[in-house]
Formats: sequence, structure tokens, C-alpha cells
Amino acid sequence: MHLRRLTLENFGPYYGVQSINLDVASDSPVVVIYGENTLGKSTLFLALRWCLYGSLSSVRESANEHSSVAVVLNNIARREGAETLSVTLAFDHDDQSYVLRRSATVRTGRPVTVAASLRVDASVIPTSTIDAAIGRIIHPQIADFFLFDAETLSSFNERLSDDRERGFIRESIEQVLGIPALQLAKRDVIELVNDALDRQSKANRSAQEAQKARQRLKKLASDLVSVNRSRAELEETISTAERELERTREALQRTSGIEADLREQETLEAQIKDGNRETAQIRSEIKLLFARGWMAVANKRLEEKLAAVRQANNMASNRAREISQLRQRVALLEGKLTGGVCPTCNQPVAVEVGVEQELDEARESLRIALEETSGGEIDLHTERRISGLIDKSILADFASRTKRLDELKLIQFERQTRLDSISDRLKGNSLAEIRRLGLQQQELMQIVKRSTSALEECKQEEGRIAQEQKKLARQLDRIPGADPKVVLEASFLRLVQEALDRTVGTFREQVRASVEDSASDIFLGLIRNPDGYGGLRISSDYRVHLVDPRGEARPTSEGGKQLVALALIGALKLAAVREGPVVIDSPLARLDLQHRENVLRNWIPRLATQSVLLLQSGELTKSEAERLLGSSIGRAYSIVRPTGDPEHAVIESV
Amino acid sequence: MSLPLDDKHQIGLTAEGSRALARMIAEGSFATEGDAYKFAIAYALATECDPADAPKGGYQTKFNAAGGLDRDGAVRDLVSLLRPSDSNRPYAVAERLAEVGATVIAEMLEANLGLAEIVKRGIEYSGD
Repeated sequence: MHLRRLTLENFGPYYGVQSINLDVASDSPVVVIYGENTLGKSTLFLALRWCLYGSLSSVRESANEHSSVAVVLNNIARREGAETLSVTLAFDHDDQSYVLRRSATVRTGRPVTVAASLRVDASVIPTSTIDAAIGRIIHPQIADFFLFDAETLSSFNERLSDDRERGFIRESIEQVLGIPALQLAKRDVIELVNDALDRQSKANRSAQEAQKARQRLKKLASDLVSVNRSRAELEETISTAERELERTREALQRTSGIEADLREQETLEAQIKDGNRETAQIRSEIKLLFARGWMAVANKRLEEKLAAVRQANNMASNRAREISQLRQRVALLEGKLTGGVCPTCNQPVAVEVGVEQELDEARESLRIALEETSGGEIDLHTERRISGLIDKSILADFASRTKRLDELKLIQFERQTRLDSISDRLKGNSLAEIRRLGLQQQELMQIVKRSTSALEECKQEEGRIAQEQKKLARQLDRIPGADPKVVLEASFLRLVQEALDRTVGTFREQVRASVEDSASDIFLGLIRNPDGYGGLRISSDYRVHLVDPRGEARPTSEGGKQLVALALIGALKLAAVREGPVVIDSPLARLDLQHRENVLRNWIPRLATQSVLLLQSGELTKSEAERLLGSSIGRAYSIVRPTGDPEHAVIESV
Repeated sequence: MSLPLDDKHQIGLTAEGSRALARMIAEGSFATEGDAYKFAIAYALATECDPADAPKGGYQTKFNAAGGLDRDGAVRDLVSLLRPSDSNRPYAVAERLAEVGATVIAEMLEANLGLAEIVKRGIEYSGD
């Protein structure tokens, strides 16, 4: 496969139609595309993957993700009424020229529709066979080995520590190398052997033995059909269950570690609900308080007024008392002057001489007091009116409720903030959904386990049938009268059957050994101190170990793990994809300068006949790239924003 | 107590005063417009607002004074007691006080002051 041109229309930040020539000569096989973060470098990578496999994310998640394509429709184009985005990839393969175009139509309120077309030379390939045609060139299962985001190298390491993931990697390579086809051929040969034996038995002179042999052969054939049917069904069940399990696991992985968040979310939602209820209750109480005590805000002024009225009343009261005393004094003095009765004790008062002046003074004091009191009556009515308007309990009740309300506001704000942050993290997941996924995963694992065990029994049964065939064949060979041609044919087919058995095993081992050799070589070419390492050892189940020169396992750093991943990906690419391009997003982001140089000088040239590197200046500047890659660079581009609008990125030739 | 003959029977607010009252209602502590209106009067009295600061005209009727808003006579008493000089026309003065009070309160609410703080300012007002 050799990439020629990639054309994008309204895809992500690429407004309108933009095209990039990827065609490079064999002596300058590197295409470098520079782009700072967020400019649209990774979008180019996604566009290529989407065009080839119809998937924006990992190819293994490709099922039914049309709706997610809607978000990559360029926003400027969308505002202008455009509804279609597309990616077209032109490439050559086996001396034929291919043009693959994938487009999506995004209409508001309608499901996104995705269409694909493929032209090979002058022929148009039927839509239903496009994916298969692309799969034959580079199977989607091995897409990760030639089209990958180096930022995800650490997740590749995690995959290597998982039994199922390693199984997937091995299966991917075997799929591409045709081992399943060899296994199918082996099964076909067993049937052919059965047929030959049947013909051999028919030629038998002894009717009784021929009859006996035919019966046994008939039973073997029937058993074989039954075993093959069961096997096919089980393989289909396992394949379906594993695909579903894969999707479930990935869905669960995306939700891993959020169960605690979900529980907290539930608790917070309940607390916020309770808080809202309490807030509403307090607000209702405050409304009642204002309905009853709206005037309480004027309490201070009312109290001042009340104090003034009370003071006036007290003064009026004192004055009245004083006047009363003055009146009694006048009456007493008048009694002393003319005789009379004491106004206080009602006893006769003895007449006294010389009190006239005292009486005059008392009468004058009374007159003055009466004059001063004029208009200063005690006003108890006003005092009662004011007292009736003052309700101190209202303010105390209001204060306590507003205090609680303020506390609640703060608490609710904190709860809401926490809830928002959790909701952001959860992105629409619910605890119920996670539990459902967990149960589904368990059920699927049970199905896979049961089916795998049943499949193993099928294989054993197949082996038993093969053994019995051999036994029967030996017996038939000994019986006289058989047609020599049929005997020879049966013997030949038995040999083919055994050869296929051995071939599958040998081929598997050779692939493993080849991946191990390549990975070791690549790894040693990447590291700073190759003398300290013996290379990589890959077991039959694709468990990868880094070993020292004595062949003993040795630990490595996180950076070392990245290099192991790069080495293994390189080896897998060489084993599975062989010739062809490699497209890598941020290939050097996590490596130090020395390792960047090693990757550029050793890894990339060895890996592919054509390399497309999506780089940002943080991992490699233009001058560093020129220094390290020199004339290997066939084409160089920069992604720029001419107007500063993030929705309008342009790819320029450097 | 009977209503002085020359006092107002129907009282209300100007358009601006009505907007201020609506802002008070929106705050959420008053069940009715009447409660907010009376609170505005009390606040204006507590903070010694001058009814002369209120617009002279443009009032739209909102309430029947003695027969609706102030059946218990508390507004009339409050105005009469705290502004004895206006005791002959308590409802006319109450209308102006409501206009001034509501406007001041709405401004404070707009400045993000809570009602608790507004009540506190009313209570603690010393004329300084």
C-alpha cells in the first residue's frame, strides 16, 4: 500500500475542501506534518482512520458510531448550511490505484447517514464489499500496528499485561497470516480422508468386513458432520460473545473508578433535594413572618416613640401627683384659716392664726402647676397603640431563619459544585447502567467460558475421529481386494492431514519467533545502551519479557516500557502488514532527545516504505527534523490558522 | 378610627415603583404585593425617608387603603405615630413612602444585598 493523497471536506477544523499530497519517492519516504496542539493534527489522523475503517476512535470500537461523526462537521460550514463532510484517500496497492471516499450527511433531527465508495482503477467496487476489500489490504484488526497515536503507547503496555488482549494480538496476526484458513483446510481434509476410506471399504472382498467398515465410516462421517456443525456454532457464539464482551469491557473501562462518584452523585442529589425542600419551607415561613410583622423593620423608631410617650406619660403622672398634693395643701391651709376638715385624714382642723401668707403661696404654686400641666394629659391610648405594633419575636424569628437560609445556600452551593464536577466526570453514566454492564460482562464471560470448554471438547472429538480414521485405515490397508489407487489416495490424504496439523503449529511458532526477533532487534536499536539488554522474549501467548544478556528477565522504567511497546508494534507491523505505510500521531511526545533520534533514524525507516509523522514543535522542531531526517523527508506541511478562527485550519506546504 | 375626609382611599405606585415592587417580590420573601408594599412603607419610615422625594404624580392604583390593604389600621397607625405631622393624611403619605421605600430596597437588592441585610440596615438606622 502506498498513500497518494488525502482530501478532506468540512472535516473538523478543515473548512471547505483541503487536499494533502502524500506521494513520496522511496529514497525520501517521510511525510512530516507540523501542527501545534489543538490546530487539527490529530483530526487529520482521525480522518484517515475514519476513511479507511469508518471509525473515529479505535478500530475495535467501530461498530455503530455514526452519530459521533456529527460532531466533526466543520462549524463554519454548518452555519453556512452545509450538511456533508467527507474524506477521500487515494492510494496504490498491487499495481492498482484505489480511491476510497467516505462521507457523512448530518441533518438536524435526523440520524447521521454515512456512505462509502471505492474505485479500483476504472472499476467501482460494490458498497457492500468495500470494507472487505480494504480489510484484505490492511485488516482493521491490525490497524493499530500501522496507524496509531503514540500518546496511547502506555495503554498498549497495559494491553500486553492482559491475557485476553494478548490473545487478541495473536489472533490478529494469525488472522492476517491465514492460520484460520489452514485450520479450515485441515477439517476439509478429514472429510476427504473419510470419503476415501469409504470407497476403500466398498472395494473390500469380504462382505461382512466391508459392511462393518462402512458402518464405522458412516458413523465417523456422521460424527464429523455433527462435530463440525457444533464447532461452527460454538465459534460463532464465542466470536459474537467476545465482540459483545469487548464492547462491554470498553464501556466498563470508560466507567472504571466512577462507581464511588455515582454513589456520591446519588447522595448529593438526595441532599440537594432535601436542601431545596428545607429552603422552600423556610422561605414559606419567612413569607408568613413578613405578612404578620412587615412593620418590624421600624421597631427601633417605634420603641423610641414608645419611650417618648412613656416619658411624657410619666411626667404627666408626676405632675398630676404634684397638683393633687398642692390641692391638699391648699385645702389644709384653708381649713386652718377658717376651720374645717383635713382633706387627707378627715379630722377636724384646729383654727390657726397667721397662715394667710402660707395659703397664698400654696395657691400660687397650684396655679403655676395647673398652668404648666395644660395639654400634658396622660396618653395611655397612644402608648397601647405603639406597644401593639412592636413585636420583637418577629425579628428574632426572621434572623434565625435567614441565618439558616444563608447556611443552606452555602451548603447547597457546595453540594451543587461537587455534583457538577462529578456529573462532568460521569458524562451521563448512571449507576444502574454500570451495574447492568457488570452483569452483562459476567454473563458474557460465562458464555465464552462454557463455549470455549465445549469447543475444546469438539476439538478432542475431532481428534478422536481422526484417530479412529487412522485405525480404520490401517485395518482396511491390511484387508485384501482394495483398489490400490483408492488406498494410495487415502494414504496421501492422511499424510496431508498430518502435514497440515504440523504446519499450523510450526507456522505459529515461526510467526512468534519472527516477531520476537524483529522486536528484539528494533528494541536494541532504540535504546541508549543495547549492551545491557538481551532483547525481548515473546512467549507463545505473546507475553513480552525484557531480558538481560544472560536471558534473565529484567525490570524497566516507564520510558523503557514505551520503547518495548514501540518495538513490539514495529515487529507486529513487519509480521502482519509487511510492506506499506505507517502513520503516527505524536510519535516522539514521550521520549527524550536521544530516543527521539533513535526512533527517527532506526525505527521509522525500518518499519515502513512510507511514513507520515504528525509532529508538534514540542517533540521536534522543523530544524531538528531536518537535521535528523535530512533527505528522507519527501514532503513537509504545516497546519496553520490564517484567520485565527479555530474552525478554519489550513494545511500549507512548507 | 375613621379616615380623614381629605386622605386618599386608593393608593398605588408609579411605573418605576411597580418595577421596584416586582423586584422585591422576585426576591422570594413576600407572599403578596401587599406585604411587600407595607414593608416598603415600614422601611421608609424606619430609615426616615422623605416622602417629598417621591414623584408628585403618575401613581397607578394598586390597593384600596383602609378597605383592603390596611384593614387592621396598622399602616395608618404606623404613619400617624412616626410622622405625626402627616397624621391627617396617613395613606397619602404612606403611598409616597411606599414609592421611595420600594425604590431604595430594589436598588439594594440589585446590588446583591440580601433582605436580611436590608432589614438589619432598617433596624439599625440612626440617621447618621
